[in-house]
Amino acid sequence: MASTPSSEVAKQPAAHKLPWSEIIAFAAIAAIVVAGVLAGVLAGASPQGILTNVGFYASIAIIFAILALGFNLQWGYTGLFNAGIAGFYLIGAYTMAIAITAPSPPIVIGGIPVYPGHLGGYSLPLAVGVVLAMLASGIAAAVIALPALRLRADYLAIATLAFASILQIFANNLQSVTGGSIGITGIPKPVEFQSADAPFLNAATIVGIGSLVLLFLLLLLQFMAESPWGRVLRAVREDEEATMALGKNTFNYKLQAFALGGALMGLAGALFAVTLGYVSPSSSFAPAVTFSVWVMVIVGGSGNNRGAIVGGFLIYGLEWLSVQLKDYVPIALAAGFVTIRGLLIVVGFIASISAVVLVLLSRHRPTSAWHRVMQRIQERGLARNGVIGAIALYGLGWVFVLLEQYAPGAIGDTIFYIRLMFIGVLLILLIIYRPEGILREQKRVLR
Amino acid sequence: MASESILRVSAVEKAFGGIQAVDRCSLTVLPRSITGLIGPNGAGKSTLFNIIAGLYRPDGGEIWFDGMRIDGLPPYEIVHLGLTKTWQIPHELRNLTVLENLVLAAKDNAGERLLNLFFRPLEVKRDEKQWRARAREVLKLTQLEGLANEHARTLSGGQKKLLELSRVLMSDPTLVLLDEPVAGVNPALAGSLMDLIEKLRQNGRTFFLIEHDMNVVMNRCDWVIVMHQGRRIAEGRPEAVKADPTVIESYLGG
Amino acid sequence: MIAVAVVAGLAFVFGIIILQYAMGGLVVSSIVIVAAIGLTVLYGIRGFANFAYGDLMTLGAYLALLLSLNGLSLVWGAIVSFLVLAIVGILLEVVIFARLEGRGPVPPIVASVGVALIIQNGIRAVAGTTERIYPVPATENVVIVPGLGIHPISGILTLVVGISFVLSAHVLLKYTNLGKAMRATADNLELAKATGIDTKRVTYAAWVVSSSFASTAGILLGLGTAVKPTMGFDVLLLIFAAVIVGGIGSPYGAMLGGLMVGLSQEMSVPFLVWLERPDVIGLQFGSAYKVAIPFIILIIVLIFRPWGIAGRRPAFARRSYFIERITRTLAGERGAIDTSPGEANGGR
Repeated sequence: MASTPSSEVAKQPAAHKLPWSEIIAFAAIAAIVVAGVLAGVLAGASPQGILTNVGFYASIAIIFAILALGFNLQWGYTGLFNAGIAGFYLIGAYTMAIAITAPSPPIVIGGIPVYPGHLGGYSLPLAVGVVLAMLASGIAAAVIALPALRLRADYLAIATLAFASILQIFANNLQSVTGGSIGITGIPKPVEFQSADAPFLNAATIVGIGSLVLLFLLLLLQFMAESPWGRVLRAVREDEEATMALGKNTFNYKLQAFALGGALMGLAGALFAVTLGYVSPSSSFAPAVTFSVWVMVIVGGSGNNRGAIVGGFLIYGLEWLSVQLKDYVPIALAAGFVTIRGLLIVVGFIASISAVVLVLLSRHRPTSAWHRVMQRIQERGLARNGVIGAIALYGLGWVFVLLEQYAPGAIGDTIFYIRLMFIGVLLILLIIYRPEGILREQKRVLR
Repeated sequence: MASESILRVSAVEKAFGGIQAVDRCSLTVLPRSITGLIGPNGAGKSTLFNIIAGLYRPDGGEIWFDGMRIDGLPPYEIVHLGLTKTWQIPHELRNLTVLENLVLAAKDNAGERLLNLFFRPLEVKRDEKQWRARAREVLKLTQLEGLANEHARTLSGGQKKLLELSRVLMSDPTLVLLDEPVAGVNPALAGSLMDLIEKLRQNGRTFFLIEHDMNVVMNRCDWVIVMHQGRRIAEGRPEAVKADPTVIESYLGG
Repeated sequence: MIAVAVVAGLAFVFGIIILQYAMGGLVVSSIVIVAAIGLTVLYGIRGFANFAYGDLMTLGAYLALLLSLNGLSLVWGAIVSFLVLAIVGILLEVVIFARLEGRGPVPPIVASVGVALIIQNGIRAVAGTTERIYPVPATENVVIVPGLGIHPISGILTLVVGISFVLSAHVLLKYTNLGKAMRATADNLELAKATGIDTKRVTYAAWVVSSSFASTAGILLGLGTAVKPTMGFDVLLLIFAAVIVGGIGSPYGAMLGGLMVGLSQEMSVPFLVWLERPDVIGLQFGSAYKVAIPFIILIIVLIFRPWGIAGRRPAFARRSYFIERITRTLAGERGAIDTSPGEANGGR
């Protein structure tokens, strides 16, 4: 950990306990990547195509991680619940696009306006575009903050949600500025590769740049969080009135945290514009994005920067994986349909019998080894969660089988919806049972 | 007489949804005194303290502190001017350590300003070191030093009161408003707390305290002000106030 | 009364077309009012912003669709949907929201977002994303005066249903014991508990009212527009706007808020169309911005009067940062501005 002037951070004496949650989180991410690669292999894609795909995953995951870091600063540290993340994201993306793209005049074909043109086209260098994007989002956040930060958390959520929705409407309709529903295309990449390897190299550069940015941000945010300034933020989250009575101008601190968080979201937006090559008022900026970021930070543990990054990779990983699987699960299912169904039935049978046996045994033979196993499962929350996870997966298998049976071909999109439902369930379970997140927050000890 | 007072409350009023909590209340507090504020429940004492400290804004009236008008100022400014208040129910920052709770009470810590983190790192380091050392001193004074690295939520009720007092000491105030400083604290500890307050008074500070514990009021206060139904109804030396018929009636009838 | 006079005045000035927009606004308002009453009752009693409310509306609409496509008349579909949603509401409380009591305003919001995700995507998975319409006979607008027409189903029926629901809510809250208990709880939870009101029962009642009103509002919305998975969530902010403008917890406020929100949205269209003219600002797609108008009103209300029309001014209210800054600068006072919270908190 970076040793800062204000504290020597000491981890809990965890030398003997493995950080199980972290290990599982990383394993899950690895599993997601492997599964995605497998799907690609099954589809017969070239190794390079698969690598590019993975590179795309990494790029977008990095972008979401930055969004999560921004939200973590606002909510995890300072207690400001921002429901308009998508709005600041949008501002960053569009500002970047306007700044660095070449001019695109309106295109009228046969009297029909095919493309309305957009503002800007200043063809500024990428770095300048990023700075402008961060400034735009940061200033927007500050402006929103002035009236909104005094509001109670739910009012703030509604106000920020309204703000983001207004932005989406404007982006869609303010055609001459934003290019309307088509958006702005032709956003230049950091390096213009010409070879046939271009997509892969582009992905690689973005991942390279993005990782550096992410690492830098992580170090910077940790430094700021451990500092006296960060301490005031935590105090504000804890009890704003008490902090005021200590002589702090809490509004200033909230404003700073909110604006900085907004600037980070703008940075993510700028990177997004460059990665995708275009921006449009599409689902990329819908409220669902805001909710996904919430999940990422809650999963990682609010107030935990590393957790936010891991959360980003995990949750976006699920989304990416669902895209990969969308085409291949039906194929696999159709091929092995009967086998899979048979397997499920057998497994279910065995599992239920064993469960009944276990329960009976544990009740009548308290000293038996089974009983001890059951106890161990109950105590080690991890094992219990594993069991629950296995059951959930099993159920999911049945869902797929049934869907394929009764609505063949419906599975493709259903994967998306099931993933989103899963995120909904995850949100509910986490907020009820484990609001501190999955990754344990490091205990800060001021010496 | 007015220019001698360190705190002057002048016809302050405050209503909450139809209830007049403070009703054109006027009082003065002399410097280097330990002044008590008593009165039956609901007399408006805590509300008045909150108004003085800037947490509520009075509907009317003026408040003067050390020659400056402070009503309407935000709490953080009032603290900077040298007026601090403790809470009736301790408002410790539960998930921060005791030491962090104290260091936050420091009045001018360079590291708390964002720009300083980047442009004046040496100053940040220096200030932080200095304030942490001072926090330890204060903790020694209130005998809490062993708990420095514990989270504040693990403290007992009495310890939390001590923490409140320690935070007050950190900010080096001129006038301290104490809202029931020894309520719920065992008598021995209460005694040492009040000894500490006496010592600090001799260093030049003024204490204005709300207390229901009559022992404390009688034995420790130089002067007592009585509030009832939002206004001052009596004041004087403790013995005089104790015998005042209007005061007795307010407690019985209130 | 004022509103009627204003509308009449506008009509004289700008022609009968204004009344058409006003009519449209009233229809929208009815839907919003029914929904807003449901939302505000829950908000006032349970104390949190239910972000799943829009999707509850969607669920109600789809249930009715399912039933009516399978032979039941839409009326029966509506009734069944009403009852099912009531049960869903109670289930939500028992399974999820009861566990989140006392944890602050944020956890229930997060949980409600989770519920919203589940409902909306569950519907997508089962019913697909194509837009549907209710199997009702296609009819022509009924013409009242030339230039002013109203559709019998999406217009008149909506108004009638809206008004009857409003009336029944009024009767429930004012004249029944349960209603009085609900109002007392919304006013002051601790006091209600102390006076022996069974707040558990009141809470369940609140969920029942809330979700069943949601189902009806959803069906009305489906009648007026189309039935698609995002229909409820799309109007969620609109309902929130009505609730906040009117004052959280106050059904009468919800009615006023709903009127304001619906009318302002529809009646802004002529103004926005005027803005489209090149000699003004040449705004493209002016009328598409009409949905932004209620949001702007919402933000303005949140800045200046967060407790809404019918809400109570909180005890520690201070004027908004902006107003204070302006008045202080004008009065030449010192620059410090009191920005403490305790303001803008609607009495909680």
